[in-house]
Amino acid sequence: MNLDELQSLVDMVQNSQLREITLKQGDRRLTIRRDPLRGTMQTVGDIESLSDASMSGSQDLVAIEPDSQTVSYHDVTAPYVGIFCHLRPMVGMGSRITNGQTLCTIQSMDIHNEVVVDVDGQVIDIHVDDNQPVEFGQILYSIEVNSSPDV
Amino acid sequence: MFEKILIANRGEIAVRIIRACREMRIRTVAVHSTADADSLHVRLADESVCIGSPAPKDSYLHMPNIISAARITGAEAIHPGIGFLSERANFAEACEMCGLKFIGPSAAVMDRMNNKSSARETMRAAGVPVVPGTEGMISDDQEALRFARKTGFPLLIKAAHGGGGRGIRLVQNEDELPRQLDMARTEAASAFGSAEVYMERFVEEPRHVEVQILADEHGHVVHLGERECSVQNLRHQKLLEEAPAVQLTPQQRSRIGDAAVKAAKAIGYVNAGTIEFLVDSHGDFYFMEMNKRLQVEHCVTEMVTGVDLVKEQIRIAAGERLGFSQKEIRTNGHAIECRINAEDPAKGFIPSAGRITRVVLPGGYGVRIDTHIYAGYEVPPFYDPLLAKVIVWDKDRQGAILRMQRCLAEMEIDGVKTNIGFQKRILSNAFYRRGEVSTDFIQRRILSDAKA
Repeated sequence: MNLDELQSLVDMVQNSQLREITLKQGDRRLTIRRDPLRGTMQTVGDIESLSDASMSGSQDLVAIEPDSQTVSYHDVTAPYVGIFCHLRPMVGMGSRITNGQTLCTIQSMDIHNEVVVDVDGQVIDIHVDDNQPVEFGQILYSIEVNSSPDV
Repeated sequence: MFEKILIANRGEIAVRIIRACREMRIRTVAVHSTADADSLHVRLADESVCIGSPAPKDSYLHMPNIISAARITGAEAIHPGIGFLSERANFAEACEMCGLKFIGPSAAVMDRMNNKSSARETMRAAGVPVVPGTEGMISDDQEALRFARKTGFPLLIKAAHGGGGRGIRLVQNEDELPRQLDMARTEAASAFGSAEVYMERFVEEPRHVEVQILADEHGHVVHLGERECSVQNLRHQKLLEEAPAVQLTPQQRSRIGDAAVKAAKAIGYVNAGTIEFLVDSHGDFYFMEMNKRLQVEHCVTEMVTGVDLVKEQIRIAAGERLGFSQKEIRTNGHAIECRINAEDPAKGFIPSAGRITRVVLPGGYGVRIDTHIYAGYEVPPFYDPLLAKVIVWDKDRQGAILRMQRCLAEMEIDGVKTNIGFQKRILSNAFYRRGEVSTDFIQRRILSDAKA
């Protein structure tokens, strides 16, 4: 991949609703991700293997202006190691959730441990599948947090 | 044989165990805290699972997360390593309940040996020498006085439930005996919740000699000779170990080895273990305690016997028979290990965390380095300060000392404070070189020297 191709990928992510795009070629991997908290983008992968692209150059390239409107996001991470289980009915994409609500359970040593959210908002992404093993700290949900009317 | 083992530990010992597994074609699962995500054991293992935040209680001591990690990765056995959960009977029990093989002794054996005074009684009953002391607890002052007159001063009063050097009082003469007994009982009651105390002869200038044993599930027990671990810091942590022990005659060596086998058989021990003895100036030895796990200094035994102790642990846990008899175990030459810690000897050995900017490791014939560090590695402040073990072998002790000195002169670690310089002082000390070491060696021969 050359710099022009990378630039066009960055433009594509920037001009779309995508949050993240990952390209795999052989055992090379390149991820371009829009960081919702800072409104910037970052690349993860073997940048060094790109022709003529220095580290600092690539970083300059992918930095974009923050969004003018401030939306805050919150990631719900796994507090335990175990098997991720959806509730029945499941909390799905777009679900409105409230502080204190149980989102899912993680089964650990035959016990279903509830994962409780501590913000109000809307589920905008689910990063794991039902019955998938998860490790401590793994991102389960991304939440768009309700902006407080007082602020 | 197992196909996949989870290693419930970190640092150099996790790396050590992963290496043994790889050579046995066993797949490995590393577990790690969020502070250890970039650690070498995580990189070397086939799979890894993050089990919690940095504090040990939230990760390396978190039993449900570790057992869950074994389950979600399909590991069949758990190697607990050293420290952390390695001597927790309830962890061994939890593993077995979840259908995971715990690579170590049974929970029942651990329980029995964790209580100091019951371990002592078990050993005495099995005919293993224990430090002469009262049979069971002291009920009245008259009994204490009778024992004192029979044994002679100085004496130790010990709390039955004490440990780690706490709950011990030294008595010099008959006059202070009743007062010291009173104080010991009061102290024991408040510190350990039981006023039970017993008395023991005070072993002067003792050496710490320990015997490595291996026991399979079919009743075979062998010992792999002994290690000298008398060079300890003021908190009784070992700094430098060697095999074989210095200043033991062949007869004493064989007697202490036999006693260790007897001790292991008496409690029905299975897997690798170490019996620690105090050896007095006459060469008489007394049972001190049993370590029911692999030890940091296992490498010196490996260097002189050629037996890979971690592989043996795994084979034993898989139900295999020991592949050798006592007669087939020969020790050859002399091995020394120096523990290189991230600590500052100039400031009371306080741990030194931070980023390691540069590492130069020694090498060459007869040299083994067990370590998890690399240039750029961040030494986290949450765990023990062991950075590396430098282990050398040569035909005799003199040669091994010279080789270790050469190694430490080559070794460089920048970015954190280390005890490399302190280890060099030990190796150049005349008393050490003559083999005149006892457990107060550092205090008497190294630190007092610095003050003078």
